[in-house]
Amino acid sequence: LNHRAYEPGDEPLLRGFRCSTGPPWEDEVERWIRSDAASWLSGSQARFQRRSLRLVEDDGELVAVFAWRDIVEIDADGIWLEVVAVSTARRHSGVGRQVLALVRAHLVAVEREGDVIAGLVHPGNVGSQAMLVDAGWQALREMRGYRLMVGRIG
Amino acid sequence: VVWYSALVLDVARLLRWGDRRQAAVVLEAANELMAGRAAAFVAESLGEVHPEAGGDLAEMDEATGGALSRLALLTEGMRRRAPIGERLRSEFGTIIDVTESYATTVTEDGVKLALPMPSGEDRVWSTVGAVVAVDYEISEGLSMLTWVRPALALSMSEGGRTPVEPVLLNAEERTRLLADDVLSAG
Repeated sequence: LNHRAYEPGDEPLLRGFRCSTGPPWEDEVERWIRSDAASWLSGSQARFQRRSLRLVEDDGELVAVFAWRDIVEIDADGIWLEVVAVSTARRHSGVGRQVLALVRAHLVAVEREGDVIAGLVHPGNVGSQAMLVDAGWQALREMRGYRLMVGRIG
Repeated sequence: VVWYSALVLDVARLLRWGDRRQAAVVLEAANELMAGRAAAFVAESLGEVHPEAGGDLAEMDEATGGALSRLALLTEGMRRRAPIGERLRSEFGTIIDVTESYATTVTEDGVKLALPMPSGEDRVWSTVGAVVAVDYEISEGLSMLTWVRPALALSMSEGGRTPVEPVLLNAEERTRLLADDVLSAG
Protein backbone atom coordinates (compact mmCIF):
# COMPACT_ATOMS: atom_id res chain seq x y z
CA LEU A 1 0.00 0.00 0.00
CA ASN A 2 1.15 3.53 -0.79
CA HIS A 3 -0.29 6.81 0.42
CA ARG A 4 -0.06 10.32 -0.88
CA ALA A 5 -1.51 13.75 -0.23
CA TYR A 6 -4.84 14.64 -1.81
CA GLU A 7 -4.54 16.85 -4.89
CA PRO A 8 -7.22 19.03 -6.50
CA GLY A 9 -7.58 16.63 -9.43
CA ASP A 10 -8.60 13.82 -7.06
CA GLU A 11 -12.21 14.96 -6.60
CA PRO A 12 -13.63 12.23 -8.87
CA LEU A 13 -11.74 9.60 -6.88
CA LEU A 14 -13.28 10.82 -3.63
CA ARG A 15 -16.75 11.16 -5.11
CA GLY A 16 -16.59 7.52 -6.15
CA PHE A 17 -15.22 6.24 -2.86
CA ARG A 18 -17.47 3.80 -1.01
CA CYS A 19 -16.84 2.67 2.54
CA SER A 20 -20.31 2.10 3.96
CA THR A 21 -22.18 -1.15 4.20
CA GLY A 22 -25.21 0.48 5.81
CA PRO A 23 -24.64 1.51 9.43
CA PRO A 24 -25.37 5.23 9.96
CA TRP A 25 -21.84 5.97 11.20
CA GLU A 26 -20.41 4.46 8.03
CA ASP A 27 -22.85 6.44 5.90
CA GLU A 28 -21.75 9.59 7.69
CA VAL A 29 -18.06 8.94 7.00
CA GLU A 30 -18.72 8.04 3.38
CA ARG A 31 -20.80 11.18 2.86
CA TRP A 32 -18.09 13.34 4.43
CA ILE A 33 -15.36 11.89 2.22
CA ARG A 34 -17.42 12.16 -0.94
CA SER A 35 -18.83 15.63 -0.32
CA ASP A 36 -16.90 17.57 2.33
CA ALA A 37 -13.35 16.31 2.61
CA ALA A 38 -11.93 18.42 -0.23
CA SER A 39 -13.43 21.69 1.05
CA TRP A 40 -12.29 20.80 4.58
CA LEU A 41 -8.75 21.31 3.31
CA SER A 42 -9.22 24.94 2.31
CA GLY A 43 -9.37 28.13 4.35
CA SER A 44 -7.37 29.70 7.13
CA GLN A 45 -8.61 27.30 9.78
CA ALA A 46 -7.38 24.42 7.67
CA ARG A 47 -3.95 25.99 7.49
CA PHE A 48 -3.86 26.79 11.18
CA GLN A 49 -4.76 23.21 12.07
CA ARG A 50 -2.44 21.80 9.41
CA ARG A 51 -5.18 19.61 8.03
CA SER A 52 -4.01 16.75 5.88
CA LEU A 53 -5.99 14.39 3.66
CA ARG A 54 -4.20 11.26 2.45
CA LEU A 55 -5.20 8.71 -0.17
CA VAL A 56 -4.09 5.10 0.25
CA GLU A 57 -3.67 3.24 -3.00
CA ASP A 58 -2.85 -0.28 -4.00
CA ASP A 59 -1.60 -0.54 -7.57
CA GLY A 60 -3.58 2.56 -8.54
CA GLU A 61 -6.77 1.55 -6.74
CA LEU A 62 -8.03 3.83 -3.96
CA VAL A 63 -8.41 1.46 -1.03
CA ALA A 64 -8.55 3.81 1.94
CA VAL A 65 -8.65 7.45 2.98
CA PHE A 66 -7.36 9.06 6.14
CA ALA A 67 -7.38 12.63 7.39
CA TRP A 68 -5.72 14.30 10.35
CA ARG A 69 -5.06 17.70 11.86
CA ASP A 70 -3.94 19.29 15.11
CA ILE A 71 -6.12 18.65 18.14
CA VAL A 72 -8.38 21.55 19.06
CA GLU A 73 -11.18 19.71 20.87
CA ILE A 74 -9.34 18.84 24.07
CA ASP A 75 -6.44 20.33 26.01
CA ALA A 76 -3.79 18.00 24.65
CA ASP A 77 -0.98 18.45 22.16
CA GLY A 78 -1.17 16.10 19.26
CA ILE A 79 -3.03 14.74 16.30
CA TRP A 80 -6.75 14.51 15.77
CA LEU A 81 -7.55 11.63 13.44
CA GLU A 82 -10.54 12.96 11.56
CA VAL A 83 -11.21 9.90 9.44
CA VAL A 84 -9.81 6.49 8.64
CA ALA A 85 -11.94 4.65 6.11
CA VAL A 86 -11.32 1.49 4.13
CA SER A 87 -13.18 0.87 0.88
CA THR A 88 -15.97 -1.71 0.97
CA ALA A 89 -14.09 -3.77 -1.59
CA ARG A 90 -11.16 -4.22 0.80
CA ARG A 91 -12.93 -4.80 4.09
CA HIS A 92 -12.16 -7.82 6.22
CA SER A 93 -8.85 -8.34 4.49
CA GLY A 94 -6.55 -6.84 7.10
CA VAL A 95 -6.32 -3.55 5.23
CA GLY A 96 -7.69 -1.59 8.23
CA ARG A 97 -4.77 -2.59 10.42
CA GLN A 98 -2.33 -1.96 7.58
CA VAL A 99 -3.76 1.52 7.12
CA LEU A 100 -3.53 2.23 10.85
CA ALA A 101 0.14 1.25 10.69
CA LEU A 102 0.57 3.55 7.68
CA VAL A 103 -0.99 6.42 9.62
CA ARG A 104 1.38 5.85 12.50
CA ALA A 105 4.42 5.66 10.21
CA HIS A 106 3.33 8.80 8.39
CA LEU A 107 2.91 10.77 11.62
CA VAL A 108 6.30 9.63 12.86
CA ALA A 109 7.74 10.77 9.53
CA VAL A 110 6.32 14.27 10.01
CA GLU A 111 7.92 14.44 13.46
CA ARG A 112 4.91 13.73 15.61
CA GLU A 113 6.43 10.82 17.49
CA GLY A 114 5.53 10.94 21.17
CA ASP A 115 2.43 13.06 20.65
CA VAL A 116 -1.06 12.08 21.66
CA ILE A 117 -3.33 10.88 18.89
CA ALA A 118 -7.09 11.11 19.32
CA GLY A 119 -10.31 10.64 17.42
CA LEU A 120 -14.01 10.00 17.77
CA VAL A 121 -15.49 6.55 17.21
CA HIS A 122 -19.19 5.78 17.15
CA PRO A 123 -20.15 3.47 20.05
CA GLY A 124 -21.70 1.08 17.56
CA ASN A 125 -18.48 0.77 15.60
CA VAL A 126 -17.24 -2.18 17.62
CA GLY A 127 -14.70 -3.31 15.03
CA SER A 128 -12.80 -0.04 14.95
CA GLN A 129 -12.80 0.22 18.73
CA ALA A 130 -11.34 -3.28 19.03
CA MET A 131 -8.70 -2.51 16.43
CA LEU A 132 -7.66 0.67 18.22
CA VAL A 133 -7.58 -1.02 21.63
CA ASP A 134 -5.35 -3.70 20.16
CA ALA A 135 -3.06 -0.90 19.00
CA GLY A 136 -2.84 0.51 22.53
CA TRP A 137 -5.57 3.14 22.40
CA GLN A 138 -8.11 3.65 25.17
CA ALA A 139 -11.55 5.22 25.47
CA LEU A 140 -11.28 8.45 27.46
CA ARG A 141 -14.76 9.98 27.55
CA GLU A 142 -18.01 10.48 25.67
CA MET A 143 -18.33 13.48 23.37
CA ARG A 144 -21.68 14.28 21.77
CA GLY A 145 -22.65 10.67 21.28
CA TYR A 146 -19.20 9.53 20.21
CA ARG A 147 -16.43 7.82 22.09
CA LEU A 148 -13.21 9.78 22.39
CA MET A 149 -10.35 7.33 21.84
CA VAL A 150 -6.74 8.28 22.51
CA GLY A 151 -3.37 6.69 21.89
CA ARG A 152 0.20 7.77 21.52
CA ILE A 153 2.30 8.01 18.39
CA GLY A 154 5.33 5.95 19.15
CA VAL B 1 -1.83 24.00 18.68
CA VAL B 2 0.97 24.26 21.21
CA TRP B 3 3.53 24.19 18.44
CA TYR B 4 1.88 27.09 16.68
CA SER B 5 1.28 28.94 19.94
CA ALA B 6 4.89 28.58 20.98
CA LEU B 7 6.05 30.07 17.71
CA VAL B 8 3.71 32.96 18.37
CA LEU B 9 5.29 33.28 21.81
CA ASP B 10 8.61 33.62 20.06
CA VAL B 11 7.03 36.34 17.97
CA ALA B 12 5.98 38.02 21.20
CA ARG B 13 9.51 37.75 22.54
CA LEU B 14 10.95 39.29 19.41
CA LEU B 15 8.45 42.12 19.58
CA ARG B 16 9.30 42.67 23.23
CA TRP B 17 12.93 43.03 22.20
CA GLY B 18 11.92 45.45 19.50
CA ASP B 19 12.83 43.22 16.58
CA ARG B 20 9.68 43.63 14.55
CA ARG B 21 11.37 42.46 11.37
CA GLN B 22 12.30 39.02 12.63
CA ALA B 23 9.00 38.76 14.45
CA ALA B 24 7.20 39.19 11.15
CA VAL B 25 9.33 36.49 9.56
CA VAL B 26 8.70 34.00 12.35
CA LEU B 27 4.99 34.73 12.30
CA GLU B 28 4.89 34.21 8.57
CA ALA B 29 6.74 30.92 8.95
CA ALA B 30 4.29 29.78 11.60
CA ASN B 31 1.40 30.55 9.31
CA GLU B 32 2.90 28.92 6.27
CA LEU B 33 4.31 25.73 7.69
CA MET B 34 1.79 23.02 6.91
CA ALA B 35 3.26 19.81 8.25
CA GLY B 36 6.42 18.70 9.95
CA ARG B 37 8.48 20.95 12.14
CA ALA B 38 11.73 21.36 10.29
CA ALA B 39 13.73 24.09 11.97
CA ALA B 40 15.54 24.49 8.68
CA PHE B 41 12.37 25.96 7.20
CA VAL B 42 12.38 28.82 9.66
CA ALA B 43 16.16 29.12 9.47
CA GLU B 44 15.93 29.49 5.71
CA SER B 45 13.34 32.22 6.08
CA LEU B 46 15.44 34.03 8.64
CA GLY B 47 18.50 33.61 6.47
CA GLU B 48 16.77 35.26 3.54
CA VAL B 49 16.05 38.31 5.64
CA HIS B 50 19.32 38.34 7.55
CA PRO B 51 21.95 36.85 5.22
CA GLU B 52 24.69 38.26 7.45
CA ALA B 53 23.95 35.41 9.85
CA GLY B 54 25.37 33.12 7.17
CA GLY B 55 22.91 30.34 7.83
CA ASP B 56 24.50 29.49 11.15
CA LEU B 57 21.69 27.72 12.98
CA ALA B 58 23.21 28.19 16.44
CA GLU B 59 23.67 31.90 15.83
CA MET B 60 20.14 32.28 14.50
CA ASP B 61 18.83 30.30 17.43
CA GLU B 62 20.52 32.65 19.85
CA ALA B 63 19.41 35.70 17.90
CA THR B 64 15.80 34.61 18.03
CA GLY B 65 15.75 33.78 21.71
CA GLY B 66 15.78 30.05 21.07
CA ALA B 67 13.06 30.05 18.41
CA LEU B 68 14.74 27.31 16.41
CA SER B 69 15.59 24.94 19.22
CA ARG B 70 12.17 25.54 20.68
CA LEU B 71 10.69 24.65 17.34
CA ALA B 72 12.52 21.37 17.38
CA LEU B 73 11.49 20.54 20.92
CA LEU B 74 7.87 21.34 20.82
CA THR B 75 6.08 18.06 20.48
CA GLU B 76 4.72 16.95 23.79
CA GLY B 77 6.83 13.80 23.84
CA MET B 78 10.01 15.60 22.88
CA ARG B 79 9.37 18.34 25.38
CA ARG B 80 9.03 15.85 28.20
CA ARG B 81 12.24 14.10 27.20
CA ALA B 82 14.28 17.24 26.70
CA PRO B 83 16.24 19.04 29.43
CA ILE B 84 14.21 22.17 28.75
CA GLY B 85 11.25 20.37 30.27
CA GLU B 86 12.82 20.78 33.69
CA ARG B 87 12.48 24.52 33.39
CA LEU B 88 8.98 24.55 31.98
CA ARG B 89 5.80 23.95 33.88
CA SER B 90 2.29 24.16 32.50
CA GLU B 91 -1.09 24.60 34.14
CA PHE B 92 -4.52 24.62 32.60
CA GLY B 93 -7.25 26.80 33.99
CA THR B 94 -10.33 28.88 33.40
CA ILE B 95 -10.52 32.66 33.64
CA ILE B 96 -13.10 33.53 36.30
CA ASP B 97 -12.54 37.26 36.74
CA VAL B 98 -10.89 40.07 34.84
CA THR B 99 -9.82 43.48 36.08
CA GLU B 100 -7.83 46.20 34.43
CA SER B 101 -4.50 44.70 35.49
CA TYR B 102 -5.13 41.05 36.38
CA ALA B 103 -7.05 38.01 35.26
CA THR B 104 -7.93 35.48 37.95
CA THR B 105 -7.65 31.87 36.84
CA VAL B 106 -8.72 28.69 38.56
CA THR B 107 -6.53 25.75 37.60
CA GLU B 108 -7.80 22.22 37.21
CA ASP B 109 -6.49 21.53 40.72
CA GLY B 110 -8.63 24.33 42.15
CA VAL B 111 -5.73 26.75 42.69
CA LYS B 112 -6.44 30.40 41.99
CA LEU B 113 -3.81 32.32 40.07
CA ALA B 114 -3.72 36.06 39.45
CA LEU B 115 -2.13 36.67 36.08
CA PRO B 116 -0.91 40.07 34.97
CA MET B 117 -2.90 41.26 31.99
CA PRO B 118 -1.14 42.49 28.89
CA SER B 119 -1.99 45.98 27.81
CA GLY B 120 -3.38 46.87 24.44
CA GLU B 121 -5.98 45.21 22.33
CA ASP B 122 -4.35 41.80 21.98
CA ARG B 123 -6.20 40.21 24.90
CA VAL B 124 -8.06 37.45 23.14
CA TRP B 125 -7.48 35.00 25.98
CA SER B 126 -8.62 37.32 28.72
CA THR B 127 -12.38 36.92 28.69
CA VAL B 128 -14.23 35.30 31.58
CA GLY B 129 -14.82 31.64 30.86
CA ALA B 130 -11.86 31.29 28.49
CA VAL B 131 -9.80 28.15 29.00
CA VAL B 132 -6.12 28.98 29.07
CA ALA B 133 -2.78 27.24 29.36
CA VAL B 134 -0.20 28.94 31.54
CA ASP B 135 3.45 28.09 30.89
CA TYR B 136 6.07 29.03 33.45
CA GLU B 137 9.61 29.26 32.19
CA ILE B 138 12.09 29.37 35.06
CA SER B 139 15.50 30.94 34.42
CA GLU B 140 18.35 29.85 36.70
CA GLY B 141 15.96 29.79 39.65
CA LEU B 142 16.12 33.57 39.79
CA SER B 143 13.33 34.75 37.55
CA MET B 144 10.27 33.33 35.89
CA LEU B 145 8.42 34.21 32.73
CA THR B 146 4.73 33.45 32.55
CA TRP B 147 3.14 32.86 29.18
CA VAL B 148 -0.61 32.61 28.84
CA ARG B 149 -2.29 31.31 25.71
CA PRO B 150 -5.67 29.92 24.73
CA ALA B 151 -5.71 26.25 25.68
CA LEU B 152 -8.33 25.38 23.15
CA ALA B 153 -9.68 26.76 19.95
CA LEU B 154 -12.43 29.20 20.74
CA SER B 155 -14.76 27.52 18.28
CA MET B 156 -15.29 24.03 16.96
CA SER B 157 -13.35 22.72 14.01
CA GLU B 158 -15.45 23.84 11.06
CA GLY B 159 -16.14 21.33 8.34
CA GLY B 160 -15.03 18.40 10.47
CA ARG B 161 -16.67 15.01 10.20
CA THR B 162 -18.16 15.27 13.67
CA PRO B 163 -18.00 18.89 14.81
CA VAL B 164 -17.89 19.07 18.60
CA GLU B 165 -17.29 21.96 20.95
CA PRO B 166 -13.88 22.03 22.64
CA VAL B 167 -13.85 20.62 26.15
CA LEU B 168 -11.36 20.71 29.00
CA LEU B 169 -10.46 17.28 30.30
CA ASN B 170 -10.92 16.69 33.99
CA ALA B 171 -7.96 15.79 36.18
CA GLU B 172 -8.63 12.05 36.06
CA GLU B 173 -8.95 12.03 32.27
CA ARG B 174 -5.82 14.09 31.90
CA THR B 175 -3.87 11.74 34.15
CA ARG B 176 -4.98 8.79 32.05
CA LEU B 177 -4.17 10.64 28.84
CA LEU B 178 -0.62 11.40 29.91
CA ALA B 179 0.16 8.06 31.52
CA ASP B 180 2.77 6.50 29.27
CA ASP B 181 2.37 3.16 30.99
CA VAL B 182 -1.26 3.10 29.90
CA LEU B 183 -0.80 4.43 26.39
CA SER B 184 1.53 2.11 24.57
CA ALA B 185 2.88 2.54 21.08
CA GLY B 186 0.23 2.32 18.38
